[in-house]
Amino acid sequence: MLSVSEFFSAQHRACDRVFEQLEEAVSRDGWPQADALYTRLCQDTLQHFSNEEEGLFPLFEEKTGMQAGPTQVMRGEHVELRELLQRMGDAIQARDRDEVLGTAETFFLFLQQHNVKEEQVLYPMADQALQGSLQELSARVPGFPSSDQA
Amino acid sequence: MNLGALSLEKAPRFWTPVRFFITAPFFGVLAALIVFMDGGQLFQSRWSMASLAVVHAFTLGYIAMVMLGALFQMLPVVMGAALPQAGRAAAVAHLVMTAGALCLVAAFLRQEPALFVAAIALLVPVLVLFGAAVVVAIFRAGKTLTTGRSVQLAALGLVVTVVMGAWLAAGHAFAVPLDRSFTNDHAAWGFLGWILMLVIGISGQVIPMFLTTPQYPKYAGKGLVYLLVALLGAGSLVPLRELQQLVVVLVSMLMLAWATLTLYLLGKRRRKRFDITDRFWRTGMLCLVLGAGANLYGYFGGTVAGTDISVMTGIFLLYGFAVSVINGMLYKIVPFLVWLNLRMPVVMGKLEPGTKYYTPNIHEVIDVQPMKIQFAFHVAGLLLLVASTLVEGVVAYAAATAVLVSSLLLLANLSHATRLYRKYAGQVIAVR
Repeated sequence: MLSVSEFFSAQHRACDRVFEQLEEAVSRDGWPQADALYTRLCQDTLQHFSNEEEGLFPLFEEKTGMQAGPTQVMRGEHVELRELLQRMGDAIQARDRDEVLGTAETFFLFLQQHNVKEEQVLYPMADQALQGSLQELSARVPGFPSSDQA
Repeated sequence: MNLGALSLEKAPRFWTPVRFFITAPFFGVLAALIVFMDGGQLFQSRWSMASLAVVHAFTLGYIAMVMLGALFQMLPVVMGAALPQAGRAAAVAHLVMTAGALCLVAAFLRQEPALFVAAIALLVPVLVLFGAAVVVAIFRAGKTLTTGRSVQLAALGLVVTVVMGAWLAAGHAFAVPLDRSFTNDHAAWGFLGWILMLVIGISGQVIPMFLTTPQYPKYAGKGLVYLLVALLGAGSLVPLRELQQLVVVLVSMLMLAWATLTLYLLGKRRRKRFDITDRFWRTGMLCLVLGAGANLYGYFGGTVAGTDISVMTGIFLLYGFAVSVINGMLYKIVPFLVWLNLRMPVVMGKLEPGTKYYTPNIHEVIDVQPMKIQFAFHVAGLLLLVASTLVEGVVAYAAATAVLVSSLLLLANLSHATRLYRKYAGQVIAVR
């Protein structure tokens, strides 16, 4: 069966790929393509956040009893990432190339340090804590395979 | 790795690492001024007092200075290893490091025993304590990845280098006859055991993450750093000429292989946009290849245009590799730290909902264009420094000018970032 680490890290990589294409489109003023890629980036990223905030994090908190721990820190960083995503969207709408690229760089660096912390600390902890509860997780997170599928 | 690693609240304050970063270009300026004063004689021998002064201006005032700052930042955030009293310790360490590096440079230039003694008294406690604190902090953090282990070994390498350096400095101070092969051990531990070890460790984490390259293969992880430290230990402890020759060959091969691998990975960057850090790193890796080659060639008696190439090797490894890589990293770290510290109120949820709070984006903190110009002067300085080892005369002054301008531009770019931080940090308090 797929582990928490594998499933959620794969979503990070998938979002990175969309981001890279978006950035490239903007650098060569491919605005219509940028609009479409931005929509996709938002969908994928926000879906991933909600997978965590409504699925993984509450279950993790329930099983470990850590309410104000790492999940709280990650939620705080999601707020900032949503804001940066919004700012990037505003700049894309305004066709302001420099502001898009500057905000994209900012978003990317902040996102990477966030992802490293999740992948190296939080997910491995979740893999341990949620052993035997993956069925519950798959009920809460769309796309997370239940054991009968695996 | 522990829970502390997750919290940005545990991240050090802005000036903890930045005071080290902003000091580095001053030592670049100092090194350039020494070349001016010396008139280029120093390029003829690695043993001249002026060349020793320039080397230590870079290794202590620039390279170790930035690396200490970076470790004060990284240890709590990335490795979950907190240094006790980090803020205050950093302020003191910075002051003592700066004073100690200046003393040592002056000691070489003036051949003044009292200055050597002062340099020892300042540098040994601060660097040995720091190295030991890093080793212990990483052990305490528990199970560690490649980066943690390399940083730990690098800290050990730093301690060995400093202790050997102190002994050599005492030799200058008290006119004890010095064994020159010991200087080679000091240089080998400094470059391989400290600088390269740290760069290998940090690259494994940072290059794939920030420069969107594929991951380093597994064999370039812990195995590589253990092999490097084993070779280094064998080479400096076993007084067997054949073994030492073998070690030099193997270590040079490792350097070549790792630099080539890194260049290959940088060639596979997924983000195709211009990135100044990428340019600095490619320059650095190319110089590591050339430096490793020159070291091997020189070790077995090779000369270029009739001159010994150890000065050229030093330029490739210290200025071409270490300074380039560090300069490139500063352009990633400093803008990010400015932005991150300004965003803290939002990330920590301390802002009233609905408050408008503007933070400049990372490109506004340091603009791309001035970084490109500084990069051009850095590369010009590098080429002219290498040329100065082959051609006597005016080239040395041109090299010093390029290094001077490059250092001043770096200072200007970093100062732009810190000014912006000061300006907007006022707002943070107003909003709170």
